[in-house]
Amino acid sequence: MTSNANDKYSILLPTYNEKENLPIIVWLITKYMDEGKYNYEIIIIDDGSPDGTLDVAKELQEIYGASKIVLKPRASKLGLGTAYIHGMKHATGNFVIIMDADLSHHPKFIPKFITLQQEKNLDIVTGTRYSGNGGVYGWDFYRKLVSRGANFLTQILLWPGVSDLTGSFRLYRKDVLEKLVSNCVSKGYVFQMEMVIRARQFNYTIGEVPISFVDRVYGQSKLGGSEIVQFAKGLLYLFATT
Amino acid sequence: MTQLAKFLSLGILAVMVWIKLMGITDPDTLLYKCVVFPLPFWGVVVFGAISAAIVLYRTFTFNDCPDAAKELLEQIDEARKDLRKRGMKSL
Ligand SMILES: Nc1nc2c(ncn2[C@@H]2O[C@H](COP(=O)(O)OP(=O)(O)OP(=O)(O)O)[C@@H](O)[C@H]2O)c(=O)[nH]1
Ligand SMILES: [Mg+2]
Repeated sequence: MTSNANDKYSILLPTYNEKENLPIIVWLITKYMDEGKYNYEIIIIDDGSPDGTLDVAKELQEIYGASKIVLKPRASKLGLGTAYIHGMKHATGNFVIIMDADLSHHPKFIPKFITLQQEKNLDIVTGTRYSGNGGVYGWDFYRKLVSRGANFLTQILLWPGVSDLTGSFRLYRKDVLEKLVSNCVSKGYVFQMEMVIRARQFNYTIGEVPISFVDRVYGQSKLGGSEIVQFAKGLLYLFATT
Repeated sequence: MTQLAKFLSLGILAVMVWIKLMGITDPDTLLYKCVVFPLPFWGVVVFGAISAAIVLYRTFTFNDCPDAAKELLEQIDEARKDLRKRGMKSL
């Protein structure tokens, strides 16, 4: 065990129209982090959501306090990749946790990420839907097929040594995340893949925790049909350059 | 070495082995006509079939997590109640 009483976890929550989900996810994070007696902060990066997500975030800040809930809003929708970078700059912890705010990533897994990191002294822990008792809920056959097919192709072409490359539920040492971010050129969806590939190049240690991914209950998906095209381009780019 | 370079090297190696095999097999035999000459074709067929089988198998065995969904819905209720109690007006 390499647990340290000074460890602090900065949890980044990028939001765009997550008015219904935000209070729930914050409540769940505080529940599990308090139970584990971890030192943490939640950084909410809202991109000017028209549904008033920021007002909800302010209410939550009043309830939980400004040391727990940190608001770093931006004026307009600048995208998920830069939202992480923006949040990371304001993180005061020595570990950063990245997750979606739409309840697809359940905070109950965070203590498992932390435990695995401590046990093996890892640089990165990533959630995986594809191995162990990981899985999904609310996906039809076609979506499962596309997901499995894309994952298989990635495994064949990139040999990443990690079973879930496109997942975005991860824990990083902060200095590792900074180094990776400054070395990644991809945007959006492919960003998550490139982070893992670069991590392997730098010989960072990566662990995996099986997670159950539940499709969003509230709100609209923000990533449209261009997802597959983006994925294919990103895959070929990484295949040819790394 | 990039992944692309690794694949190209493997590909060149495979082609060299194939050419060698064609050189040492008698061109008038059935073995040559049905196996050795069309070997790249068979390679693609076998690889494709195995890949399709793996992907299909993994699709059918992709874990469904109804319990996780149920737990989440219960916790959503619990969270809403607790947050209202703590003075959250927008809920
Ligand atoms: N700050 C910010 N957050 C974003 C932006 N786009 C998406 N998000 C948030 O990023 C997280 C993931 O986005 P999702 O829309 O759930 O993407 P997804 O998980 O691939 O798609 P679905 O779950 O099917 O909707 C959510 O918390 C979104 O609110 C953005 O441009 N800016
Ligand atoms: Mg989502």
